[in-house]
This record gives sequence, structure tokens and C-alpha cells, in this order.
Amino acid sequence: MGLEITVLCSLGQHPGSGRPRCATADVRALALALQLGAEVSAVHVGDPESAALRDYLGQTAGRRSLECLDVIDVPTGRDIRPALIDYLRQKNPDVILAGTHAECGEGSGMLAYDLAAALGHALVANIDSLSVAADGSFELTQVLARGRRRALGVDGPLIATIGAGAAVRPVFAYARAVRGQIRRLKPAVECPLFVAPSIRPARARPKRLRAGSGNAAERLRAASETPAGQGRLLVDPSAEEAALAIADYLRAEGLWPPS
Amino acid sequence: MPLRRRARRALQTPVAGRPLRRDPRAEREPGLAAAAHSAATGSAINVGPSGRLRRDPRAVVRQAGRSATGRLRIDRSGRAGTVSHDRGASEHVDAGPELICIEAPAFWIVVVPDYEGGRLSSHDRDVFGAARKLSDGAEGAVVAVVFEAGEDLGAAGADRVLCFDDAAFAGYAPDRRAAAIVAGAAALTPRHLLFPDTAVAGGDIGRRVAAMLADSPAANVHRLRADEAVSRADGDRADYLRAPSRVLLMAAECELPIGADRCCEARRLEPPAIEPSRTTITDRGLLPTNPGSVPLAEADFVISAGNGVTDWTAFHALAEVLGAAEGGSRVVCDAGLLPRERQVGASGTLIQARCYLAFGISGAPQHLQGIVRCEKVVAINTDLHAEMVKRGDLSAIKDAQAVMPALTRLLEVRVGGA
Repeated sequence: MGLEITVLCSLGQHPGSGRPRCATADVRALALALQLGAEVSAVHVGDPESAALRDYLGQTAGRRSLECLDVIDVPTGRDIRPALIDYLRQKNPDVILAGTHAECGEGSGMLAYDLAAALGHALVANIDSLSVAADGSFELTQVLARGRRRALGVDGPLIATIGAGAAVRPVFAYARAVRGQIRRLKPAVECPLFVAPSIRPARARPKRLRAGSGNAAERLRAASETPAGQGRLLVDPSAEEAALAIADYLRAEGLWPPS
Repeated sequence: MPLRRRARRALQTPVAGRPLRRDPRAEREPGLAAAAHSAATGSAINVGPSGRLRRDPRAVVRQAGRSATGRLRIDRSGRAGTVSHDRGASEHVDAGPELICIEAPAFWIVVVPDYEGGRLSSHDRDVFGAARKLSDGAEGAVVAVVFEAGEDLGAAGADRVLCFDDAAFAGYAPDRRAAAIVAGAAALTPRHLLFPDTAVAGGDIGRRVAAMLADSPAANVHRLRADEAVSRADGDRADYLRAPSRVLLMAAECELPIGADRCCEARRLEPPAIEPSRTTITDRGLLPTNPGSVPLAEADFVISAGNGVTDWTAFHALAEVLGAAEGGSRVVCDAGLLPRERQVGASGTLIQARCYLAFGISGAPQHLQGIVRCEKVVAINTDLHAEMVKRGDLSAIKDAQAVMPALTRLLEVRVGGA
């Protein structure tokens, strides 16, 4: 099979313990690529000595795992995009997969968009599944809010991002993590220094509440009670009248007739 | 009595021509000093001449609201003052909110709401609130860019509206929309472009616009001022502070939406003619989803059963034809009539559906807590005095077993006739 997929792998951090690990969304992207039975390569830009990179080599899906992880050695505090764009230009895969956001650092989710602009690829955000149609185009399912899915078709080279909640789940195999190779690459282009923003530890954001607080009974009442006397009330209508009134109401809300 | 003496001292008025005497006791207990002022306001709780709080039962009844059933709704939460104030405000709104017109603004701020199906989400309104916060102090104006017609944007805070309602922008066309926004913005040269940072709508288009403008946007911004944008980053462990970028992707609840007492004019601007760009992405429409498999927390439309439902075949049939997710009260789930993950309420799922259809649910406080974030509630119950009937935007006092099949029949007739 001729399909080539490159997965962009970043380092993550466990939300509780703070230990370095592989990023959840990137692992999902890797699992999706492995499941497809395509020729999969993975690349990380950063420190090749990070222990957490071995986690990527141990992820298996469809009984396959990575044999080799390319790591472009770029010191921290530098813009990784030139090195990555140069690497992907030379590799020229059919599909590039990445997680939607990095777990460490700014995590603005702009990397995939900058790559798509630089490489001229089509970009689809937040996909759940990927397959290749008979004519060589890609068929994607995109995750929307409220449990909905959208079918999309894409011709030509593609960058897709995958959320941390995607359905594919890989299985970790320790032996493969030990056996896999990490290939160190030197960046062919210079990576400029990044302007560091000022950073402060996050404080919990206050939740938006309705005005008023007090003891538990008052808070419960405030949370569960709404000012009454706004709604329309039908007292003992016939079943058909009630059904018509509900249908009219749902139509006004755009829920009738159901799609 | 010491209290009475203290009150008399606090209430003493300065004699004309003499300097005002300080009263240390009144300073220590400002409630007593304020007694004279609050006595004239006519609120239900006054301070008597002795300095004690006195509740006027007639004023309590006057200020209480009426429920749909005509019963008194007395607010004992201690917020009576704010409630009566709110009522005064809503009377003011009936007279018409203040219309704000800005003819020649100093600068523009572009807001691109998700505006899904022509409706503003609360996230969209928050983003408008953040834009107004930037523009109001500095004579700026807000332009909304939307891709379909719908709800009034002036009430959310848009001074101008740029509407590209061409068929080429319908569905999933983020690259075309981004190109249109950049072209529309080129004429106005806005100071900032604000997007709600949602996964596949605002966040997607906003990042495309940022890539086209070669900007590095601040994402997930939860605090925005003219000189500072604060993004939640590093896996929600740190805040990144920087000067606001041109493109800003705003988090939910980043700012309060504008109040109901203000309204902007939302004047339509003529959108520039744009040749839709060639795209390699084709939208093949939404996939049919099984509502039963959608998690209750994500469902848009929930039909829920309580102890008043005995005809479960009719309930499941109605849920299927309506395409709604099924939910139930604790009683129903305890009895094993619905699986546990379908339970709505404090010990089940807190849902945020757009519409909640409750059959035979009386409305325990724990259940009502679960539907606090539902927009519209329709209640069908045999008990006129049930809490759920009070909560409902439309309530019918009728047996659920009669209404459910009637609704199913009505739907089948409509679909068959169409």
C-alpha cells in the first residue's frame, strides 16, 4: 500500500503528577495511522534524550507499532517550525496527522495551521476516522459538538488534527518501547529564538454564578429554582391539543420536524 | 436598654450652625446609622426606631412574584432587594433598551461568532462582551461577520454586520470563510479580530485567518484588556501574558455579555464581492447519529421520563421519531427501567440541552439541578403544583401516556404528508 502518513509527536505531561509522558492527542493520531495499515513515520522536534519519547515506540494499534522515531535535535526556546517544514518537504507524506493542541508550552494549536499554510496542504480539524476511497481521495469523519459527526472528502495532500477524545485507543507494549529505535537528526535550517512571554501559574477561574450566595439551602434553591410565572400553562387539554402545542413550541425552537 | 440608647445616639441629627459630632458607636454599627435612609425606601425589611430589623408582611406579599399556577412565589433568600430591582429593570426594557449608534468610530473590532444555525451561543455573547469592553472606552465599534442570516446581533453588541450569505460559504468551508473574513477585514483594517475558541468553528477559522495574516494569535484567552491578553496554556497549568495579538481566540466565559438595557444598531454593511476560492475539501453532510449512543451531557435535545411514565413502548417510540436522547429521573433509573448513564440530575448527568422534554417528572430539587443549563423546558405532568410545571416554559397538565402517542402520531402524519 502506497499511503504514507507522518505523525507529529510532542511531549506531554501528566496532569496530576506532572511527570513527562507522551501527549494523549498525539498518541491517538499515531494509533489512527497505525490502524490504517499505512506506512507510518513519526517525528518529534526537541531533545532526543527525553525518556518519554520511548512511550511512542511502545504504542500498538492493529498489531503494529513504530520501529523508528525521528527526532530533530532543536534546543528548547527555539521556533521548531522551520526545521519541521524542511523535514516534511523532504519526506513529502500523503497525510500529516497531529494532535489539536500541545499539552506543554503555549499549546495554541497553531502548528498544524502554519504547516498547512507553508506546505499548501488542505487542513481538517478534529477528525475521528480516516479512510482512503477507491479514487485515492480521503474520507474523513469530523467530530462536532453535541455528539454529532460530519463526513468530509478531501483530494490531495492533507493535514488533519485529532482531539484527545478521539475514539481510537492504542495498547502499550513495553517490549516494543525498549526495542524501538530513536533516530537523531540535525536540523538542516536555522531555528530562530522564540520571544518568551511572561508566564505565571494559573489560578482557578471563578465560575460564573447567579448573584447571591448563602447557606447550602439557599445555594441549592438558587441553583435549582428559576423564577416561575414565565411559562405557558395548559390545564387539562385534550391529548391532541397538548401534542399540537408542544409541536408548535418545538417548531419555534427549530427542532420540529426532526432532521 | 443599651441597644435603644445606641440607636437614639446614631439617629441624632446635627444641629444647624454647630460642627457635626462624631458618633463612635454609630461608626461601629453602620446598620443603625443607615436606618433613617432605609426607612424611606419601602423595602420589605426596614429598621425600626429601636434599630431592630422589622419585616413588613404586606410588603413581602406585594413584592412576591406569581407562578404560572397563580401561587405566590416568595423569595426568602435575602435577595428580595435585587429581585424587585430586576423587575424595575425589566419594565424599563419593555419601554425599549437604550440604542447605541456609533457613526465614525476611532477603530474597528471584528467579531466572528459561531452563529450556528443563526443562533448565538453563550460563548458568542461572551466574545461580543469582550469586544465591547475593548471598544467602549476608546470610541471603537464592533463589526460582526456572519455567514448566514439569523438572530439579531445588535442585542449582543454588534454596531455593524457583514453578512456573507452565499451558498459557497454554507456547511464546512473554513478556508473560504477565512478568505472572506480577511477580504472583509482588509477594507476596515480592524485593530483586533475576535473568535470564540471552539474546536471546529471559531477556533478553526480563527487559526486559518491568523495563518493568512502571518500572526501568532493568543489562544484560549480568558482575560482581555487593551494592553494585555491572558491565555490559559501549558495544559491549564499556567497563564501566558502578552500584548493582544491581532487575532484573538477567546475562551468561554471570558467576559460578561452586554446587559439587556443596551442595544447596538447592527447596521448592515455591503459585503465586498469575493470570488470563492478553490477548495479540495467537500462537505458530505452530517452523519446520522444514533441518539441513544450520544452521551447525555452532549445531547442537544433530551426527552426524559419520570415516575409518571408507565407506557415505555410509547416513550421509546417517541424518542426515536423525535431523534432525541433518552433520559430519566432517579426513580426510573433505580427501578431499572433506564440504564444508569441515562439518569439526569445531581447524582446523574448535568445536561445542557437546548430543549428538555419532561414526561411525568415532578421535579425534585436534585433533578432540577441537573437541568439548570437547559435552555427550554417542556413539562407534561398530571400534577398542577409540581415543581417541574413551574420550571417549564411550556407545561401541560395531562397524563404522559395520552400525550406521547398523540405526539408520535402527529409527527408521523406530518412526515408522511410532507
